Formats: sequence, C-alpha cells, structure tokens
Amino acid sequence: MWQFFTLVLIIVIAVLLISNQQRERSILRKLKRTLDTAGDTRAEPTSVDGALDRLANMVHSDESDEMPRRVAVAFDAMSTGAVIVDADGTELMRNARALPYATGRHGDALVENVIQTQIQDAIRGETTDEELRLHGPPERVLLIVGSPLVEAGELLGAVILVDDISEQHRLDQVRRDFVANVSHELRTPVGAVSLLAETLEGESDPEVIDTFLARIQDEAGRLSGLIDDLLDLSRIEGGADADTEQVDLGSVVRESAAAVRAAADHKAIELHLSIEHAPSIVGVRSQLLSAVTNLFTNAIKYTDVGGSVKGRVVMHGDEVALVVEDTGIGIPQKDSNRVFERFYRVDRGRAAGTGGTGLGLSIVRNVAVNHGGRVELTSQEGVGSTFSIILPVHGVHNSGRERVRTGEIDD
Amino acid sequence: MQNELRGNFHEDLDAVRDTIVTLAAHVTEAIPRATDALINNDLEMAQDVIAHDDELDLLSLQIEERCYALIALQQPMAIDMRSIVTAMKINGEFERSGDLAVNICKGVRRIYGIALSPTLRGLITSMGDEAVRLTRVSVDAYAEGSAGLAAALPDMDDRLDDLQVDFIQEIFAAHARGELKLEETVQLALIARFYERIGDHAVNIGERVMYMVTGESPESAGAARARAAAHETEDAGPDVSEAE
Repeated sequence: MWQFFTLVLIIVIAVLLISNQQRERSILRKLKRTLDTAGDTRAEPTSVDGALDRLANMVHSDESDEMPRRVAVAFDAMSTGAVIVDADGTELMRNARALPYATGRHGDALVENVIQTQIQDAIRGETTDEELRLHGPPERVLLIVGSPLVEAGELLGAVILVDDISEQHRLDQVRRDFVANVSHELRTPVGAVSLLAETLEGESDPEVIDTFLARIQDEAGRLSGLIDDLLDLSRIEGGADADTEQVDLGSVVRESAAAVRAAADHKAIELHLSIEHAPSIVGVRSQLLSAVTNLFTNAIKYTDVGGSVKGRVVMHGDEVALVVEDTGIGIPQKDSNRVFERFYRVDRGRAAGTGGTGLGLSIVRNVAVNHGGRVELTSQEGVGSTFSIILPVHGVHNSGRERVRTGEIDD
Repeated sequence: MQNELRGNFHEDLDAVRDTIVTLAAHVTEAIPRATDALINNDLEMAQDVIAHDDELDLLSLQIEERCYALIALQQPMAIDMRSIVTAMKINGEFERSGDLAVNICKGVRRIYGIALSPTLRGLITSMGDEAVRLTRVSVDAYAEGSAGLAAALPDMDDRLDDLQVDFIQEIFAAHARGELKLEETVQLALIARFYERIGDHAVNIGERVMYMVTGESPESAGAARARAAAHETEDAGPDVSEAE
C-alpha cells in the first residue's frame, strides 16, 4: 500500500516539477521579451533570476540616472522660468531660465522679489499671478504665476512660473495702433473732402469755389497717394514682379537726391553726397530708388531751415550701407524701434504739417529685407537721425533664373 | 557654536546685501519711469512713481534695522564691521536717489502740459540714461565688491554733469526766446539738478564700496593732512586735544 502512495507522490512531484519548469520557462520568455523591448542588447539570460537581476538593474539605472537627467535637461530647456519649492517653501529645483533671477540685480532682482512673495502665498494654498512691467533697459513684461502643488488634498509644495510676454505685448500694441492709425490716415482726407463739398453747395462766389475745388483736389491727391503707397508696400512685401538687375547704388543715391533737391533748396538745407566708392548690386532698381528717396524726403521734412542732410554709400566688408544722415529734430528712443511700422507716427502733432502717408519707412524696411538686408537707425532728439539701409553686396536672395539673367547683363 | 553663530552672521549679512540690491533695483526702475513721465507729460506714470516710494522707504528701514541688530548681537570687527557700516551708508544713498526720482515726478506735475523742444527732450533722455547707468554701476560695484567699478564712477559722473550744464544753458536760451515761461524754466532747472544729484549719490556709493573693500575711505587723504597740520601746531604750541 505504501508503495502505491510513494509512486503517487513521486508522480505528483514530477508533474509539479515539470509544470513549474514550464512556468519558469514561460516567465523567462516573457522577461526576455521585456528586456528586448527595453533595449537590452546583451546575450540572453539563461535563468529567471538572471533576467530579473538584469531588469532590476535597468529599472534602477533608469530611475536614478537616465530619466531624471532627461527631465532635468527638459526642465532647463523650457522657455518658461520655473521654481519648485516644498511645502515649507524651501527651494527644490530652479531651471536655467529662472536661475539669473536668483542672483540677479536691477530688473531681475525685482522679478525674484515677486517670486519669493508668490512662494509664500502658494504654500498657503493661494494661486497668484502678477504682470511685472520692467522699464529696463531692456523693457520687459513678465507674467509670474504661483500655484500650490496639491495631490489628494495634501500640499506637496508650490511651483512658480515666469513667462516673458514682452513680444506678445509689443505685437498687441502694434495691432491696436495700426487700426487706429490707418483709420486716422483715411478719415482725414475723406472728412475734408466731404466738408468742403458740403460748403460748396451753398457757395456762389467763383473765387471761393475755385479755392475749395483746389483743396478738394489736394485732399483727393493725398488719398490716392496713400492708396498708391499701400499698393507699393503690398507689392514689395509680396516680393512679386520684381525684376532684378545689376544696380549701381551711386546712381540710385544721386537720382534720389535729385528728386528732393528742390525741397532742400526751399528750406536752405545743404545736401551733400559722398558716393565715390559705390558698388553695384543685384536688386530691383525701382524699389531701391523709392527707399532712398523716402529717406531723403524724411530727412528734409524733419530738418529745420538751414540744416544739413548727407547721403553716403559706405562699404563694410561684404555689406554696403546706404546712409542718410540729417541734423533734424531726431526720434525719441522709445519710438526708434517702431517708426518702421505701417502708419506709426512718433507724434501726430509734428507729422500733421508734413503731408506724409505714414508708410515711407515701412517701405524702406521692406525693400531692405527684400534685398536680404536690414535697416538701422541711430538718433537723438534735437541732434539728428541717421538711417542706414544695409545690403549684402552679393545678393543672396536671387533665384537661379535671376542669376542667369544678370549673367547675361554682365556679358 | 562660535562657527554656527558666525555662519548665521554671514547669512544675515548676505540677506542685507540682497535687500539693498532689491532697493537699488526699485531705484533703477524709478529713474527711467520718471524720465518717461517728464518727456511724455504722463501724469499717471508720475503718480505711480510717487506712490511707489513708500515701498522703498519700507525696504530702507528694514535694512537699517537689520544692520543695527547685527552690530548689537554680533559685535563684528574689521571687514565685517566695514561691510555693515557700508550697507547702512549705501542704504541711505539709494533711498535718497529714489526720493530724487520722486522729486522729478513732482516737478512733472507742476509743469504739466509743457511742450518740450526736441533738443530739450534729447538732453533729458540722455541725462536720464546716464543717471540710470551710474546707479546701475554703483549697485554692481557694491554687490561684486569691486573697487575697479567703483573707481570708474567719478569719471562717468562727469558726463552727466556736462549734460546738466548743456541742459541749463538750453533752457535759459529757450526762455530768452520766449519758448519757456519763467516758472517752467525754474522747474526744469531743478529737475536737471535732481538728475545731477542722482549721479552724485552713485559716486558716493562708489566711495563707500572702496572703503568696504580697501579700508581706505576717500576722506582718508584729507584727514591725514588735517592730522599732520594738527601735529605741527602741537609741536609748536600748547597741546591740542584729540578730536577723533
């Protein structure tokens, strides 16, 4: 009898052992697959223990090394400054963007001040946000938001985020001003025309009628000038129908100056040109002409009787600068970045008598950009302004077709 | 125990320095705001700067109280003592510069509606820029303990002084041409003086930084001469009592 029991026992153990082995093998298979997907390139493990060790190692190294490193690098790469504190307000982490505030002076010290205040608010469970305007220089607008970090009703700490929203603010301002300015520029001549026409209705004196008609014509001319400028600008901005050719910059400056010489003489303004070493570049002649003429027109417009205006062509390495310098009233610092915007006026009062459309400098900038260049301005109020159109001498913006064409001209 | 106390002491001293840097940051913000208020006839901005001054006063008071506490509790010596004394003196200088920005804004209120010529606006912008630059360099010199930066301040201040002279000449000329009323001319002259004083405070801060770093105060040379003179009279005549 006991022999039978022993046999059964042996069979049971054998079955258990075999099934265990099978299970172990299937576990090992699964582990191998996991290791494979986890990117393990070493020889396959032979036992469950070995595979588990290897997996544990990988998980361990991932936790203590790779993952946090990635998170830390990502944290530093964020364009938002971030500071994380624990529930007592002790700082745990601060990313690269927020680092300068901690040791900063001037404006940065004020940012840090707000961060510290918000940390105290946030660990009390309050969410706060503040828009900090710094006068600079540089002028900046920062949005600083402090929020408590809460999980399952427990306060873990707080995070303070600092966003530089200066650019959004600037664009907002540009958009608002554009709408206001363009309406103003359009309304003025239209209003004048309708008023003059209304007055004409009841008028019988032929002399007065003539004067009024002349003024209506003036205003209509102004309006059509404005529309021409707008069309010019949109054409230049679109970069369409630009016939490039080899353009002698000296002749461009000379022609532009000739166009404004009468106006200069009228105000007894000396107009000097220095264009001896002017090179030729590949570009659109009509655009360059209109840009330089615009600069000369402005220079003379805003320079008092008896002042002087200089036009120069200067080479700087691979670049050439078309410089127009005046001894005029100058441009306030705060406006120097904005005068190139469409319809932007430094001061409506002073522009009123000048009859411009408010598009001149915008055209200048677009022409420069179209030619792969840029515009620079240095100015001091009461001293004068210097505008430079800086262009690469070897036009980089041309398509192959255009290069072929200029090749023909060279021949 | 001793080390721990000293450790705290230096932490406290750092905290004082950081608060001074914050106070200075407020001042370097207030100056361009005042200049903008002046140039743009911006009463709202002027009012803003004036109202904000209370915060500066509070910071200044906190710095002073902390310095008293440090002296009373730690009995510092040598460079530590000089650092605290410097902090207290510099604190006063920055606070005064902040007040001057407020004075400019009060001037703006008095001459509200004035039309400034481009030349005057240009000169005001330049004076404002120079005043900010000087104040900034003085903060940098203090925070970095840099005698080199501090030594550069007097030369930089010369430019602000020159601008002030140009400005005064220009407003008198404008007054003579009938472009400015007498009250406006006087107010503008005062405003120019405020800018010039901001520059002077920056130079004073530079001198205090020199003292902190080197132990030599700018008055040392003059004081040495006075002592030498006293010594001579002492040799010649009856005893002169120590007056230190």
